[in-house]
Amino acid sequence: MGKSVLQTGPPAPDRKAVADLINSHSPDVYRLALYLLRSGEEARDAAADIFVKIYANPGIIPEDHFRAWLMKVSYNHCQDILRKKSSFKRLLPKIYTRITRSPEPTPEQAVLEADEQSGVRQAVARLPDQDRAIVFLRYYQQLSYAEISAVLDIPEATVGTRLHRAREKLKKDLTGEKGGAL
Amino acid sequence: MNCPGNFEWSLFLDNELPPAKKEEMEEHLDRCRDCRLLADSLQEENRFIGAALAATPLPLNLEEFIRHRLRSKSRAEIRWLFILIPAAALTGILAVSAAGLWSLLENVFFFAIMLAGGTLFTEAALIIAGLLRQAALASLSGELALPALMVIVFCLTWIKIRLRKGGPAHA
Ligand SMILES: [Zn+2]
Repeated sequence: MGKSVLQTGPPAPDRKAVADLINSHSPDVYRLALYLLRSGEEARDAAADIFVKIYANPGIIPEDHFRAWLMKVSYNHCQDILRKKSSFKRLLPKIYTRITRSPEPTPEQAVLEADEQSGVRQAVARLPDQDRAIVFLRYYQQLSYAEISAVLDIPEATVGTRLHRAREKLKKDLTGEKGGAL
Repeated sequence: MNCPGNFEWSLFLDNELPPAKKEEMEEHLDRCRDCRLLADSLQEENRFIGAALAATPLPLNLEEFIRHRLRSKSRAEIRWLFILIPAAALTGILAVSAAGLWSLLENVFFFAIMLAGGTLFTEAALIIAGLLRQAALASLSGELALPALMVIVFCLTWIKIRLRKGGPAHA
């Protein structure tokens, strides 16, 4: 952390802890944002803003269920962005499509995407909003159904059925397109 | 016990079943080869989805990008200084004018411009100085609207410039 940081708010150790969190958790936050927002640029921006939020108020970091908490903060932030976007889209549909048209992938990205796992990632990205989050939180973040229900604010029993439904969709999507098993 | 379906095996693998049910299914697993194969393949799928998501490419310098955003946010915390300083300067100029020292200050200023030579910068400085002077004169005659308006315009312009320079986008 630079020396120029003005120590207003909480004491330094907390903020140092947030700086360490960036090292360990920024990939998780970015990837969740990527699957929710489906734009690399926006996901990077969102990840930065999520850490700014935490940095401004390190006292909100809980001692237990840290991973689930971080995912909830990130999920809520992305939902806010999506809400803003959808109202914008409703008001100015033409301008919306023009400015949100995603740029061509860079050559490096294309190479990385060409491996066998990319099919799964693309299939996940094609799932409906909440299903993407559930699959991500369960199989990548390894959260329990109870934790996922807290992140998404849905009943715990719903998590299991949604997850199952999402799995079926993934399978259908992948086998339908490539004619092979998942 | 009949063979459990995909959904139940998913719950089983996700460790989301009550202990009694879980035990029952474990016993079934020992006896039924079909279910062993099914559970194994489901588990392999879980693992594969997780691995694929965990390998989602990251942008270059993600951490550096976030740190940069944190630093500019920290700078934004001291934004008020940039509002306070011009306000203090304006007050000072008003005080100087009130004491009748304005013309002295003005002469020093023009002398400095002569030394520096005319550039776009000095032109702009002249215009600003002229505005400040008008504000000072206006406030001397008890007319406070113009100075107040200038301070407000300055603050708004400043904040606008700050935001455009990549301040927090979703703050
Ligand atoms: Zn069986």
